[in-house]
Amino acid sequence: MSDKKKGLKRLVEFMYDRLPMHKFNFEHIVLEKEVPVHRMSWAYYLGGLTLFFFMVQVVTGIFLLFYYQPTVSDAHASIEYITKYVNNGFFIRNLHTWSSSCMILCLVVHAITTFAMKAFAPPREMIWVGGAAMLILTFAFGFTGYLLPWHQIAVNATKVMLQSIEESGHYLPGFLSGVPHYMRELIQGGSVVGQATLSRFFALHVVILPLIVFGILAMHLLSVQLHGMSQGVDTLPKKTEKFFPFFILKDLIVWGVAFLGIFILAVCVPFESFYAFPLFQAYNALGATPEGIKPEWYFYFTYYPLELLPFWLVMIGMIVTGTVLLLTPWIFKNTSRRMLTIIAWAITAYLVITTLFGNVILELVKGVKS
Amino acid sequence: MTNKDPNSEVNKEKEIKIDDERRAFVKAACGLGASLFLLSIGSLEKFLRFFSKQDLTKEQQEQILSEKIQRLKQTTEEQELQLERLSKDYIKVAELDSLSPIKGIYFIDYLMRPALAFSDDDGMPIVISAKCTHLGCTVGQNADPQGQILCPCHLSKFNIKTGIPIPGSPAKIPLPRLGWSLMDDKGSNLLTQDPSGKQVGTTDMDKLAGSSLYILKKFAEGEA
Repeated sequence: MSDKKKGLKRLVEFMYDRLPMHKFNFEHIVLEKEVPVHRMSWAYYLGGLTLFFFMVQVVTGIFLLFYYQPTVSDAHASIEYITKYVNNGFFIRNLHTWSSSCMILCLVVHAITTFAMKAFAPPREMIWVGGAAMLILTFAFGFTGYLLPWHQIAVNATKVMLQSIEESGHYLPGFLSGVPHYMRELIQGGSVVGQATLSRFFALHVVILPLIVFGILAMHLLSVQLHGMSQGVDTLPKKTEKFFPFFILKDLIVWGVAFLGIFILAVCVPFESFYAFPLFQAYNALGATPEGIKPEWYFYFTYYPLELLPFWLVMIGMIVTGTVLLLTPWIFKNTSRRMLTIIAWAITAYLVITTLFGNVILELVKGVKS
Repeated sequence: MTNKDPNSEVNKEKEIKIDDERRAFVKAACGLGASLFLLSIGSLEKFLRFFSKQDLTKEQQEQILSEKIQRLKQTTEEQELQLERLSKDYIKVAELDSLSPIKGIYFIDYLMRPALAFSDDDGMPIVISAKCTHLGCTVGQNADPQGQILCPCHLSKFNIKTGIPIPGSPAKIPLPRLGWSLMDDKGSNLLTQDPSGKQVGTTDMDKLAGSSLYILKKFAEGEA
């Protein structure tokens, strides 16, 4: 057999192992599917919970589309209109913002627990890669959605993020140094952040990113159904429970409790109450940037390091992290679950410290209030 | 004393376990169904009313319309600025007499970026970009007693005369100086300074009194 044929055969076998479509039947997916019961079983709910928050995002996002107007003159006013005058508009908008934060939190915890449980081990590599891609896309959702209200913090934070992309060009060699500038222009759409940027972010946020996520999500869910739940622990679990009807019922209970939680939050706590009011005034291109410009909390893990460390160091860190994230199934193929758990705890500690105490650290190191 | 059949005991235990599981499942399903019903009543009311017509008072309608018109005017102004920068070779920033060494005047340069105009100790204009060279925020317009302006995003401080950031600032590159021209009310060019600081024309403040500050397209073409 020629090398070309051998390579093709290997590829077909690889895909057959990763997507065993012969298991796509009622018996395997519904009647036989079981969930291992062990000390980490709670982590099996996280993927479903993320999916639930994503569904809330889609529904509330569609609702908001009925009133939101994506133009620089009307975007802020339309958001104010939704919040002040549309019946229960504040509730739908709060539900959208709270569920976006909950979705990112669940997704990150889901990724960390999946890593610690070594649920990326063969033949589940593509499930991990799909999940990692969705994690990155979810951050892109957050980035594009942040601009849409067109208030001071939104536009200025976007300007800072886009400038950060351009800055990275200074650290790249040769023709590569021009790539970030081109990327910035491509995203920005004009010489400054304006109507072209808003239109692009709107199209990305409501059409392009959702379409990509739907595609990857479908493959992710299909693969999970075909392969079943991963074992998750070193020793074979002594106990299992049926996915249908027991686990799915518990899953729905968790969804119900989660919905109740964000329902109460959306009614009682406006998401914007965590920021100073001037940041939510309509963007004024002819004035100074107000104090307190920050990205959303889920970007603090890169924002505070950017404030404290040299730009090139953070950039290298981000590139390495992104590469390791996508190649995890191959990099950690032979790593024990014990070691993976230690790494997962280290990642968790880093994320918690930078997110909750990043501003305190910045004040201590630089003696300034962020 | 009766002899128990071990197999029937095991079977009985299994049946009891299955019965318990069924009971637990039915209970949970009922509980879930009831809570979903209650949740849907609460949330459906909110979701459906979202699409119903808004009952706005006359005052509310007036407020919405006036805010909308104000915002449209602001957008129109921004677009007029853009058009002006495309069509004109020089654009008025301010009267020379209105410039202050403490509080800068914001304006938009030829590349639609924010810029600031101050006056120097000798009364000459200082015209610098207000786009922070760190990560692009707009710097503040109020200079401190040391003649420094602050970028509120990452707290870089710049000397307004030179544009140079003070040591320790996150920004490392000076704010670019813009070329400018002073013209009288007839449009005659009295004094021009290019971005490098080279001046052509009179520097006699008596002759420059009453003149106006302009930025010139020819200097911006080099920056683009």
